[in-house]
Amino acid sequence: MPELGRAALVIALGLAVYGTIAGAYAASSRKRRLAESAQNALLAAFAATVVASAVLAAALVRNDFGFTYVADHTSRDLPLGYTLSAFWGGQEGSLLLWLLVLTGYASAAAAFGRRAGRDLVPWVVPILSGVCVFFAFLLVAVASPFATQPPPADGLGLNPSLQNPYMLIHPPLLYLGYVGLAVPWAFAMGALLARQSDERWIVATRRWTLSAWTFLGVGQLLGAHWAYEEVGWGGYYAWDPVENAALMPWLAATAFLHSVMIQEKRGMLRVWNMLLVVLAFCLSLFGTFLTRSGIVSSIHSFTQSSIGPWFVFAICVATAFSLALVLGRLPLLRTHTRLESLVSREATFLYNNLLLVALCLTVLWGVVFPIVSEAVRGEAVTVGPPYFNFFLRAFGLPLLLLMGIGPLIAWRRASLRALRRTFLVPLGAALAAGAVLLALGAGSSIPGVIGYTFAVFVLASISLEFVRGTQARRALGASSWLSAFGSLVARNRRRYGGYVVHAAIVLLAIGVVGSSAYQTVGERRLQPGETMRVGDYDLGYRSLVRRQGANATEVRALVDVRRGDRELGQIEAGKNSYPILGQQPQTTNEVAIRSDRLTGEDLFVIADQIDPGGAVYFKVLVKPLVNLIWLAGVVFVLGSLIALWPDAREQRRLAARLARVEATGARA
Amino acid sequence: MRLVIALSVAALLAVFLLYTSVAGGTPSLQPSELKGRDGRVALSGEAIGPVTGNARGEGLRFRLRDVEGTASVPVVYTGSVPELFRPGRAVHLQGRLRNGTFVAVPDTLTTKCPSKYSPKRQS
Amino acid sequence: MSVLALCLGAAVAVACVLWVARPFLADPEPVDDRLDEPDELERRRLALAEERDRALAALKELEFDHRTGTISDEDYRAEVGLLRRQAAGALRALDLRAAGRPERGRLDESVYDEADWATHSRPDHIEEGEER
Repeated sequence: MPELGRAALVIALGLAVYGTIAGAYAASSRKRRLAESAQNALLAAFAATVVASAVLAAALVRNDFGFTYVADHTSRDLPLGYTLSAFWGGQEGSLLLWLLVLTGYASAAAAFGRRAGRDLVPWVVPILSGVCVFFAFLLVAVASPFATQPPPADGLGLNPSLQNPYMLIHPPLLYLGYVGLAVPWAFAMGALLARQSDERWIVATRRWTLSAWTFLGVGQLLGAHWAYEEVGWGGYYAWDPVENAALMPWLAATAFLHSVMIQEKRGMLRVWNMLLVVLAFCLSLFGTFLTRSGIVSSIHSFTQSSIGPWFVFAICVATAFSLALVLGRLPLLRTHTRLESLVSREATFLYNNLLLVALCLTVLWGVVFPIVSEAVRGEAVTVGPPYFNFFLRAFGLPLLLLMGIGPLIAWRRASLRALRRTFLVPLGAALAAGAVLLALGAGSSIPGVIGYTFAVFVLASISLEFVRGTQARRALGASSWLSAFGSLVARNRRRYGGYVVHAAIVLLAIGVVGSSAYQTVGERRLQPGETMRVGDYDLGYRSLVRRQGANATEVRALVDVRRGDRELGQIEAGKNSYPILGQQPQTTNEVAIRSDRLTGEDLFVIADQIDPGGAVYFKVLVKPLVNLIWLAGVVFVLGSLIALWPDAREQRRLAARLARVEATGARA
Repeated sequence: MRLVIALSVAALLAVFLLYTSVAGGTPSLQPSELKGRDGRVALSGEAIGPVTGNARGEGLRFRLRDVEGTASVPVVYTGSVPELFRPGRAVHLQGRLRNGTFVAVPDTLTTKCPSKYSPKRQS
Repeated sequence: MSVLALCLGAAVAVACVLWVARPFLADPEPVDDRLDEPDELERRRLALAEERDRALAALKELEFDHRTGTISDEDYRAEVGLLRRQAAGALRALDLRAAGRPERGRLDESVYDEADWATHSRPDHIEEGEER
């Protein structure tokens, strides 16, 4: 069967090459049948990739250790779910997943893109096929999942620390995000190649961009949750290059989502939008590359592999191609609309963009600094969390504030008079909150107080938008507050979905501020019977228990928790020990997290070191408001869904715009 | 408008470059490059046993060797030890060389996540 | 195993080739093999249609902001004239395009009815006798 897999990949490669060459020729020479043929080739490439994927999946399920890949990443006793997750757990399989998602997205984009941009699709097909060529080539010639070997008795298995549900969902979501950014990029380049100066490429790809961005965001939050609960060092983000690899394209995509709104409304920022979509896609490729090559030392990197140089080549080609195209078509993108006032909603969008891109480039600089310094100075210098946290505060806090300012300012230009009225309530709420916070002792962290104050400002601003909008609809005759609210959101999905997403970001910010600026940490070695106090909590170490779990020996320290005079129950923190054939047992950290439902605070207990005599070295963190981060994820998805939801009215309007053109054209 | 953008970009670049070169990061070295350096550095390499001592006591002692090479240096470390730590693993920590022993900054020991790190296969 | 793989592989290959060749097989003697795309004139119309949509959307948003109180009455009055003139200009430009044709295109503004709560900004209130 591996031969079938290999053959399917070769077929996919051939189809992708055909799609690129034939598609490019068909688009430039305006040949209809050839263009259709190229588009068919893209769909066929998807089918071939599905066949290859099915072969790999079947081999995994069957525990066919004749496949080197299966032997390297699974073992007989691995539960089915994790066996399947090994599909994307290794280098070759994850590349196959990339190709699968890419060919799937590309076929769908070409098929659905006809509606909004039928002269765009003939160019989009060869561009996306070109990207497919790269990945198919890697799979055929450099990193094949279908290498074979004489089957060993059992496979090497999956590291126990990866055997958790996150492994099943985190990588695929990230891939759906990474790959999704290729679609707007392809349409943008297609628009340039087709010499289009209008916005159809944006309209055609709006939902693609939004969903890819959502997947990337949720994927990252899940990764953070994974780090928090399973890896258990007490944090959720370590500014590791692999974490940053997903953050950078997400930031660029966030900037892009906002600036295209400006282009749609005012026709401005065309060149900027082109550059942003190129940046987002290239960072997506770069991110994929970062997690694969050993080029930057990270706790996640794959071993040094031969795949790195290929990725560098591909990223250079993609960047050069895109920039050359943008520069070549620069006259097409010229616009005469000027920014009328530095105090306007357009301006806040622009500032938002500048800050997002600045943060993105900061992270990029921090990630590549070791490589740059090695090349320049001969030794690799790494920057750590202090660098990233400094700039996160420097750019993130103003960004937070801008989220609140945007809705309060009018388009084009805002007069001081109007500003005074709209800012009054949110500003007042923020100042009041700030005063209260300072009184409660939050002044221990100045960035913390600022963060909280800004968050209140934004929440007040967003709430006012909902209230005023509902009031206005009610005044127009809606039957009840509920129906007024419902129809308000339904008729302005992008706007109010966006506000919900902003609210999610604010929750995220509050959670991050609380759990970093205001956390309390305590460490002590305790004998059984001793207690320690961290923050408001009193922890009493009772005893150590040892028990046998499903596939590991579990050691747990039982700890009684009290706050003030209330008993809060008993928690267990400890370690698991997984026996591995022929090696020392693998131990994992099993932390105890006690979440306070009301305040969102977590008591995070790590049994750092367990002495044979029964004494345990505990590291305890009290993290206020940290659960808001996970709640923010839910709200984020909700907001995105609202903004993504198909809008019949909007579709009719677009159809009317295009149909008129076609109808009158036909009569000529 | 262009001027505003250009100026902001220039200011930004200046800030990064300044920050990274002055406040800066820590050099990432292997044990073979450690000779004569007495400032704070980040050291990475392969941990080799025997591993003695107590990281929550007088200090965990082991040796760190170049990933591809033979140069090694004794290390003493206090703080939390990742559960993946064991001889043969690639590790990373910060500290400074003192009297021939690398004294690590507490809680800076990390090990490479084994997810895509296939162990060397005996062929 | 291997023979099966070979057969399946061949089947996949043949299916793909057929699918790719389908446009040529289905239509061997085409009347017109040119890609269907808008010509220069149509593109101009599209650009103008976008201009018009943009102007009308700006008007609608002005109304929205006014009703929710983001813009004061004075600011609204200052802006609405400009936006209405822009919308009118865009509609007129589109009309002129249509004027050169045997049949004048009828502008169907019903798609803008969702501005029903902004009763002043409906296109039939735009001056200079625009086509309704």
